[in-house]
Formats: sequence, structure tokens, C-alpha cells
Amino acid sequence: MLCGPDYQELLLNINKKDKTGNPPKIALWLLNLVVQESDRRFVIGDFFEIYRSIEKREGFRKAYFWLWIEILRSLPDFVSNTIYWRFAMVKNYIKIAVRNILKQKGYSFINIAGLTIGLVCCLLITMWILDELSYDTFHDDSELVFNILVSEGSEGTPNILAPALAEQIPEIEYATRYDWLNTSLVTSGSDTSFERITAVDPSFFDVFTFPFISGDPKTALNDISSIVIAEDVAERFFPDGNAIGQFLTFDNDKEMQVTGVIENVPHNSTLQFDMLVPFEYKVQFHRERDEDYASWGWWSASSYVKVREGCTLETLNDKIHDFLRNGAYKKDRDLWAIPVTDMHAVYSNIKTYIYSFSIVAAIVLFMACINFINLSIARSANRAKETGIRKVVGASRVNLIGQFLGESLFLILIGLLLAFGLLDLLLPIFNEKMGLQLSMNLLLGNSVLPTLIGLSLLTGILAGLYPAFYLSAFQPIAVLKGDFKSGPGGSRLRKSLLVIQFVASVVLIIGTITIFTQLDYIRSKDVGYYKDQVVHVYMEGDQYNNFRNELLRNHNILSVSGSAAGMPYWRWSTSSVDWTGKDPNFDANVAMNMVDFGFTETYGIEILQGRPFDRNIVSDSVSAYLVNEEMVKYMGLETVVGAELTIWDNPGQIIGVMRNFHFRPLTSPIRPLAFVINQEKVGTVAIRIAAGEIPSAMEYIKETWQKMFPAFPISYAFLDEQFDRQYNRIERIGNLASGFALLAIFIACLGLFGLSSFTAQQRTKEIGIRKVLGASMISIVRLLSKEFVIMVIIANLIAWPIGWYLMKEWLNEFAYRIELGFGIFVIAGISALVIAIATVSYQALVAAMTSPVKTLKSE
Amino acid sequence: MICFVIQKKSNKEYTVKWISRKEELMLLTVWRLKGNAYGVTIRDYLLKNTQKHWSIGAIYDVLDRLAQKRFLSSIDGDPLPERGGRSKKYYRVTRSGFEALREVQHIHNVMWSGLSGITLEYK
Repeated sequence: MLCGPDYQELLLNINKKDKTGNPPKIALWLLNLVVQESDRRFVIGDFFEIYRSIEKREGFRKAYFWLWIEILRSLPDFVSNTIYWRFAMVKNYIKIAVRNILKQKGYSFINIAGLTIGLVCCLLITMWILDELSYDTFHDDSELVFNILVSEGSEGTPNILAPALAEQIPEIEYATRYDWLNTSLVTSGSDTSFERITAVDPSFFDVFTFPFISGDPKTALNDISSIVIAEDVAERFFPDGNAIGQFLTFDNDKEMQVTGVIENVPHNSTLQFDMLVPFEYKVQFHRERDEDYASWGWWSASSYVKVREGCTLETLNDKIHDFLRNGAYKKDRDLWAIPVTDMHAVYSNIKTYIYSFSIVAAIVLFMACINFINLSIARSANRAKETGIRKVVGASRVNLIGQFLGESLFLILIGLLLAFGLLDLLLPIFNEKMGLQLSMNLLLGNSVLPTLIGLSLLTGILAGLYPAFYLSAFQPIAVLKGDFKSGPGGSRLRKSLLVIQFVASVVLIIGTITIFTQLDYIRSKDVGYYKDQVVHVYMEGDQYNNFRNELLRNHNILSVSGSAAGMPYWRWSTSSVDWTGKDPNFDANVAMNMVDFGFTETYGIEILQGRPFDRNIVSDSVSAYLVNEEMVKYMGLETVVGAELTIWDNPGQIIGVMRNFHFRPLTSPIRPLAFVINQEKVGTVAIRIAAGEIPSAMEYIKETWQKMFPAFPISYAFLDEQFDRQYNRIERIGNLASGFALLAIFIACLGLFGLSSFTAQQRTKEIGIRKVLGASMISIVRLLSKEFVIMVIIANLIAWPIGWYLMKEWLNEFAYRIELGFGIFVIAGISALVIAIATVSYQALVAAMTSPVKTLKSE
Repeated sequence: MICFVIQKKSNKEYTVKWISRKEELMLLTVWRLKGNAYGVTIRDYLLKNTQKHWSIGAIYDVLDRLAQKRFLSSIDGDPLPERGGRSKKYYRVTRSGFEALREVQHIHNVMWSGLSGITLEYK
């Protein structure tokens, strides 16, 4: 107002007629700034009037002085008054916003619910990924710690590798081995329990950070009979406190003295154990094979090294390469290091999942945001009249923009609050279903929350921006006269966004179906041995043969055998293997196990050539080998039965060939395998029970155990359960994928619902006229649903190749997998279509059933 | 500082609504100035009769609130050169403003009655 052209002119005229001056411009500017709009003209007029009268009476100086004093004195009142009136308008905005939300409850619900669910989903997935990425990062200098791997893909490395590396490579500061102890029974007084015990080198605590509660990490594992235990174990065995110096008994035999208590191992540690013993202890008392424990041939321990500062992964790998070339170990063996922080992702093969699920989370959040924007835009068309009235009454464009932006931000705020509430509610359920231990703390101290909140606000701004600028630009006259039609503006964009949502949903459905079909396939696949009716009992002591004989007395127990490493899978392998005609440069590595007679009978493993081990043939227990089909191919011999085979410098003859069976998870192919007899090493006793007799047989087994090994509690497991447990992770992933697919479909449907009801609303008059002219209800429903059905079909066509490619990649992880049939895609497509039609036809039906009198009378 | 204003309800009962002392004085001023109540005259009248300083900001603050309560109505005059081309905004006391004044007066009378004979000296 102050700078309007007519005002300027007026000022000039005044100056010509009247010699008295005007108040200084800066004062007027200041007043303009602080006085609220409706009073501005009059306040400035009053100032003018008084200023001039003072100037006339008492002169310019006095007036000038008065003006500034008066402005200063008025300032607080002006400011508070302005704030008061601004707030009054904000109150009106909030009132209108709340009324709008309540008036269009369906829309508001869809809008807020979609956003909330999208946010919760995204947060859950983010937390899961953060948790997965946090594995093994809690060690000091975790970037300097590496795990050494051998190309065979097993965690095991030669047991003497770590010390040899530490000796030969100066960059390595510390090295430690990490290996399970076969023992697990621990006694103190009358307390007995099974614990997870690991043998490590004394330098373990230099490599890894497991904080000590008491004891000295430097010396804790120096003595061969020393033991370091976790806090909760200490509390269990020594509730009085002081655990240090107390004794624990292993296998009712060896006394171990507690030299340290460490904090409980965090859940995000790949290394999980209850107790640590010196590696020397394992070498001394737990050798699987007497002489060669220190040879390169025996692999069981994992190897970890900590390098000196400044040594990178590349340098370390180069050094390891040099180490191999110098011939310290076999030249053509591949060894390499991976950072300990990557270990979890590599071992559990979770990288692909992390990538794909972060993409999914992003898509779901994106969908929710798109929906929000879509619906807000659709909704805003109904508010053209309100905008018109506001403009007539004097709202400026800035006010309107502020109002619309504020309103959508208000909705976003509700969505955010609900999302965090829901997250808090759902987290325990999610943790239970997924077998995770996520906590809200994961979201603190990183950029997740700011990013999500920022993204939500951005969504709110984008959603508010369109109505804010689009509607506020209309001529109020046009809007109020009713000439305004919300045009097709952005409808193509809206449609393509909806198509994207359905693409994502269909891909997720395809993923879910594929994962579950594959899971089903694995579970029901013939693994080459009997899974059912076999129970494993874990042996203690050396009375295996007596135990076996005792068990066989029961007529419900069909067969008893055993092996050193238990089914359903084991990792043992050896490179100390030789046979006649083997290429001397061929670095063979075969899986092996030590078994008892009757192993193949108990597990129902078929013998293709030759014969199984025979108790009555003396040479079988010293120099006979049983191999699998894969081994036959591996050896490349024409006649295998009767061929010479040497493992661990123990020459023998191959007596038979077994049909291939799966002793590794189905993700890995079957490897060459050799069995040798060694009854003394049997650790897992396999007992096959007659069908339907499990309860009585178990009763008998427990009794027998009690009789023979009163000092040890029995520990057993059913093979089929153990077998299924391997695939828990895949099942969880499947659950997660199906959950996501449901949510994605839900969010997409919310969008579809909103958009279809919007179109239906826009076409009310058209539908009314059609009905008057005699259109049937079905034809109207068809008219309204057609375009959405086409959209979903297009989405399907886009989604199929994407889903096919992604699932093919996923299935590649399995050595044994299903074929991606066309059926999966059709099912996914049809289910998406059915859901979409159901969503759309509701709106279409409502529109078709409305009486034309209602819709047409307003014309 | 605070007095009652009693608003009429349909059944002739009164509800109490507070107005401030400043608002009371402002209403009285506008009432007494009859047709000539706008910013400058109101301020002059208040300055002269209350012996307190009333800044222009304070005047408008109170005027706006009274207008919001519908105790005052206003009408814009013509733009005048001595006001830098701005018009005057003339205020009038509305019916409910008048009622409010009546109630204030009534309460004053009731509260002060009988005290006029007694000396008001502080002991």
C-alpha cells in the first residue's frame, strides 16, 4: 500500500500544496512492517496527522523527536497485536484443516494410513538393515581385523594357518584361531549344563574387543587349563559373585580355572560363545586325529588377523599372495582376507537381501509418498470454492499457499506421529517373527530419522505445493461462478505413478510365491537319505559300542550307527588325499567323515556299486573307503571299486560307491566325499526308529542313557527338525517378502481407491446423464473400471520381466532350484488384477447406484 | 484492572465475560466522542482525561480487540491530505458494546455503593 503508484502521486501533490513535511520514510517503513495489515492505513494516517500538527506548532525537530519516541513506545503493542491477529488466522486454518479431515474421513484415512504404513515399513527395514550392518563393528579398530578365507567356501582354514601368517607377514600384528570344542558339558558342583565353548589363541583379546568385567585379558588364556566365561554363565555357576579362581569341570574330567569374566557377547557378533579356552587345550585334549593336528591337512579353525595401522585390505591380500608364492603353503591354493565387518554379510549370504530389501523399502516409502501427493491433489479440486471465497474476503496468495502447505504438513505430522507409535507397537512382533533383536536405539545417532522426517516434510510440501499454487492462481470470479473445472492437469502423471506402484506390488508377489515354492521344493526334495524317524544323540565318553548294543535290544529301534561329524550337514574336508592316477599338480580337497558300520543302512543311503562297510571284514575298519558318485567323477577313474585311495597318509581301498546325498545345505552342490570307519570318534549317534514308535523308543533311549552315562544329561535332536532349521533364514526372508507384498498391494490399493473415487466424483454428472439415457449399472461400472484395469495390466507386463530377472538371480544362490514357470507370473498378475478390480468397483458401484436426480439437480 | 461484562442470554440470565480496564476506558471514550471517534481524537481524549500515556500502538491494540468482540463497529472516512492520503477510521459503540458499558457501570455502582460515605484513606 505504501508503494502503490496512486499513493506516490498523492504524496507528491501533498508536498506541493502543503509546505509541512512528511514523516521520514524509514519510520513509515518500520510501521508498515510491524503494524498488522487491517490497521496499517489508519495507524499511519494517525501518525501523519499528529506529526504534522506538532510540526506546525512546535517545529520539525520536535515532531521528529516525538515520532521516534512514539514509535518506540508503540512498538510492543503493535508487535503483540500483530502476533495476536496472525494467530487468529492460524486458528482459522487449523479449524478448516480439521474440518476438512473430518468431512472427508475416507480420504483422510487413506492419506494418513498409507503414509503411516509406508513409514513404518521403511523404518522396520532400515532398522533391520542397520542391525545387519552393525555386525562385528563393535570391536576397537574393527577395520583392522580380517578373517582369512579359503576358496572352498568353508569357514574352516588349516589349523596352523593363523600362526604361520602372523610369523611370515610383518603387517599382521596379532593372529588368532577360533574353533569349536567338541565338548560342551560343563559342571560345577551340582550344576551341569551344555555351553558353547570355543578354543582361541591368547591373542584373541588383542584382535577382538570383548570387554573384561574381571581378569586380565593379557594373561587370561596363557595357562592351558584356564577359561574365560561370559557374564551370564558366571552368574549361573557362581551366583555369589566372585567367579575368578573358581573351577569348572569339562566332561566330568578336566578341571578348568576361571581367569576372566567378560561381558555377554552382543547379539550382533558373528562369534557367539559362552566360554573360551586356550587353543592349546584343544590341541592337547580334543584332537580328532592324533599326529596331524598341526599339519596343513587338517582344517577346522577359522583364522582371524589384526593388521598394523595403515595396512589395507589390498596390501594384506597381496602379502597373503606372496606368502603363498613363497611356498610356505601350497602355491595354487587360494587364500584371501575379508574385513571382519563384512563377515556376517558374507557368511549368511545376506548382501543380496540387504540390497533388495533396501530397494523394496525405498519403493514402499516412495509409493506412500506418491499416494499422499496424488490424493492431496485430487482432494484439493473440491476446495476451489473455498479458495475463491478466501480471495474475495482478502486473502493474499501468500496466505493461501501458506494455508495449503500448512495443511498438508499437518497431515504429515499426524502420519509421522502415528508411524512412530505403530513402530513401537510392532517392533516386538517383528522381532519375534524374524528372530531379530532390534531396538529403537538403532535409529539414534545416525541420519535415518532426519532423512525420513525430511522426506516426509518434502512429501508434505510437494503435496501442498500443487494445490497451493494451482488453486491460488485462479480468478475468484471464475471459480465462484462455477466455471471452474478441475482439469486433467497431472492426470497422466498420476496414472503413471499408480502403474509404478502396481509394478512394485506384482514384483513382490512374484518374489513371495517364488521364495515359498523354492522353500517347499527344498523341504520336500529327496536329499538321498531318510530324514524322518531318525534321532541324533550326542555322545559323551567312549562307550559308543556298548551304548549301541544296548539300544539295539529294543525292537522299535531299527538301526544304530554314528559319525564323527553329524548329519544333516558338516564342513569337514581334507586336502591330504591321494589316489592312483591322480595328477600330482591337482590340489584335491574332498569332504570326509569318520563313520561307524551301518551308517548307510541307518540313513538309507543307497549303494550303487560295491558294498557298504562290513563289520565282519577286518580290513574294513582300517583301510577301506566308501565314496560318493561325485567322488567317482572327481577322481576320473573308470573302475572305482577296488581303486587305491590315501587319506591322511592312510592307504586303503575303495569298497563301494554311494548314491549322492546332500550333506551340505541345498545352496551348495554335492561335493566329493569319502567315508572311513572310526568307531572311537563317533560323536553323533544316529538312531532309526520304527514308524509310529518314536515316543516309546525315545523313552527307552533316555533310560538307557541314564543308566550308562548318569553323569551326563542326554542331548538329542530329530533329524527332520534339524534339517528344517537350516532353512529358517529363507523362511524368514519369505515371510518378510510376503509381508512387504501385502503392504505394497495395500498401499497401491489405497492409491487406486483414492484415484478411482476421485474420477467417479468428477464424472458424477456424466454418469447421471448416462443413467437418464438408459445406461445399465454394469456398463457404468465397466466404464469406470476400464482404465484402471488397463493400468494394472500394463503394470503386470512391466513387472513380469523384472520379477523373472530378480528371481532368477535369487534362485542362482541354490544349487538345486525350481524352474520359474509361467504359472507364478500368471498367479501374481491375476491376484493383483482381482484386488484392483475389487477396489475400483466399489467406487464404481457407488457412483452407478446414485440416483441421477441427485447428481443432476444442481445444474 | 479487570471488570465484568455481562452478556445477555435468551432467557434473560447473564453470563460473565471479562473486559479489561483499558477496554472499559476505550469504550467510554468512543461513547463520549459520539461521531468523532477515530485514532487521534480517541488518543487525545484519553491522554487528557486519564493522565497516563497512551501510545498509538496501545490504542489500536485495544480497539482491535473491542472490534473483535463486536463491542465497536467502524466505518472508513475519506482519504485526507493531512493524513498523508490515508482515511480516518471512525468507531461507534455497538448495541452489545453499550450493554457491556451498562454492566460495567452497574458492577461499579454495586461494588462501590456505601463506600462513598466512608473515607477511602489508607489506614
